[in-house]
Amino acid sequence: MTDRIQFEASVAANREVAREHFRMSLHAPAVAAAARPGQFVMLRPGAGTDPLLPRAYSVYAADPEAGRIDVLYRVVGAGTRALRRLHQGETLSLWGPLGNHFIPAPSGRLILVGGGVGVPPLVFLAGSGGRAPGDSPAIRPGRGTARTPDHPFAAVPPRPLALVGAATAEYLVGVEDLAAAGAEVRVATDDGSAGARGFVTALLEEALAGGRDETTVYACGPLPMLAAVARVCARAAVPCQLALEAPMACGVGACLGCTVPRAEGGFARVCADGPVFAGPAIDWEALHD
Amino acid sequence: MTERGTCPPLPPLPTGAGGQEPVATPPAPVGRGAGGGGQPALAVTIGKLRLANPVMTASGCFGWGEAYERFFDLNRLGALVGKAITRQPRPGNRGTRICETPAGMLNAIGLQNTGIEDFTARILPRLRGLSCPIVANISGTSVADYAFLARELSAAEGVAAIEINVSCPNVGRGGVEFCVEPGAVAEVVAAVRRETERTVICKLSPNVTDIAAIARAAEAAGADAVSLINTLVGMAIDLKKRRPVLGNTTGGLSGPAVKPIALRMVYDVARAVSVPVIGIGGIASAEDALQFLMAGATAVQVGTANFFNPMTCPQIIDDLAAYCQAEGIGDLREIIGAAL
Repeated sequence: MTDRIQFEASVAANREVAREHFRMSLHAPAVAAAARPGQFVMLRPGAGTDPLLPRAYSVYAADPEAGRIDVLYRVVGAGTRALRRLHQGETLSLWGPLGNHFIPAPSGRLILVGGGVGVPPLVFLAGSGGRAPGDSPAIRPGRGTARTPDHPFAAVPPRPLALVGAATAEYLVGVEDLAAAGAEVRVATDDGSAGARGFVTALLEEALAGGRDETTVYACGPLPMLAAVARVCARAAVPCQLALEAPMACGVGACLGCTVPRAEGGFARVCADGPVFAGPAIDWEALHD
Repeated sequence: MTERGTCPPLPPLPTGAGGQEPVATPPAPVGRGAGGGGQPALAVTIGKLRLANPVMTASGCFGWGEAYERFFDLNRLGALVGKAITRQPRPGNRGTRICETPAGMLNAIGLQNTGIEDFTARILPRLRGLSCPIVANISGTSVADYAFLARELSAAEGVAAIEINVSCPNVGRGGVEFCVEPGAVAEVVAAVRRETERTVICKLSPNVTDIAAIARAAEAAGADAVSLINTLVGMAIDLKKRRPVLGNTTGGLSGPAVKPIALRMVYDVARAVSVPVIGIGGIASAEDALQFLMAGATAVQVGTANFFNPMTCPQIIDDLAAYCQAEGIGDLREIIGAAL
């Protein structure tokens, strides 16, 4: 019953990839082998009381052969400042992979929407080609453009479309990685310093206006962006899977601190019932206070 | 600052305070590991409860263990205290529910739980597979609620003890919390006592003027033990929004930040009552647990530390055994109340 999910992971790399954004590689073979796009890990650097609580980080990449996973973080507070201070070879406490994951669409067009530091699960999804490690039958027999673990997105038309948003050009992350994974990438920035000026959801509306047949949208980013994605997809009658972020204490479903209101009433735990939810599953109005 | 190695020297034998009496009744469901063989004795007794070791989980900080069985064997616990149970299901609070603070955290979950009916029908059957004692924590808004919950839990098989959360608004008294009035606490404890033969623990709030007086009221009304402290009421403000961070405005402060307060209160209460005291508040290591035992606690509960280190409980149990061995202590009970 006790499969080991807590580890002392050593830092393999920790480098700046955009303004205030860092990508950290961690040696954690069991997690690298098991992680699926959308899942996250809890990281706690050191054993001190400041910061006290671990933080949740979505898996950005997993390399089972090298036994490594990557996470992306933006330095915003005590937790991420502590990560920033870690050097290669130092260790931190890690548990995971946690939560549910994106369900790969068996076929059809994929649109990936990422905002700011929310791009990791989308890069992981694009990079894995929707592969399903382990024994979970996540890939159903597809029609036409079926994807299998041996056929990443890049090899199977149509290419996924990745829409990436950030405040300005210098805060953009994940664009090269998405392109390398075979996605067609379009960018939006609040000030127009890169790509289109405006919100990434405008790019989504545009893309859906160009055709929505057999399309699935995957998104991760700030809650207002996800609410907008859910709204746009509902209007276009396109299914969407959204990876949510919320303050967490435990990451494993015990503290009930990270809940979001369900459309059907009550609350869902982002850590244990999510982090991936279908757009209509969340009561977005209630979530906005 | 680490407290490793700062534990005071050992006192001469016999057990000090804590009112350890020989158990008259056979112990309730017990998860005694394979002891013996020169291993130090860690077992303690709380009412009819015989715990293989003094480490329990704190209510609301461990779910019903389902999240933690991926980390360690739950049967290693002295006892598993689950999430608060109410008469009706409660969805919990809207808005932000937790917030980290220096060396601690605030929470305002709102007693989210699926209610007593779901507990007995769906959750309890799964818990019966465990050999460690199960403690149900109950919350109500009237004396009748507590009595009802105690009756239901006593009728069910598998609950070894009932912990009463009195930090709840008493609707009959304009919403004043039960925990602040000795009379109201006594009323609740007596009502639960009438309904059950199981061990009754009253969980005390630190948000009172004289916690020892409340503890004496609980003892006089028939509590087999008292546990303390529940969280301290606090708040945090979001500078950008210029509003309280928590959706509930205020929340309960827990974590290492509250440990010195909890320790002082356990010390005060241990000197005021003769029933066993269970120490709660910021316990994250065996050193912390030992301080509470020396302050008069017979057992401890681990809360917030489960969140930042899921292995805290088994580590404390291992380290307590190692401490006893290193200090030549044959029975951990020797140190209970040593500092009183």
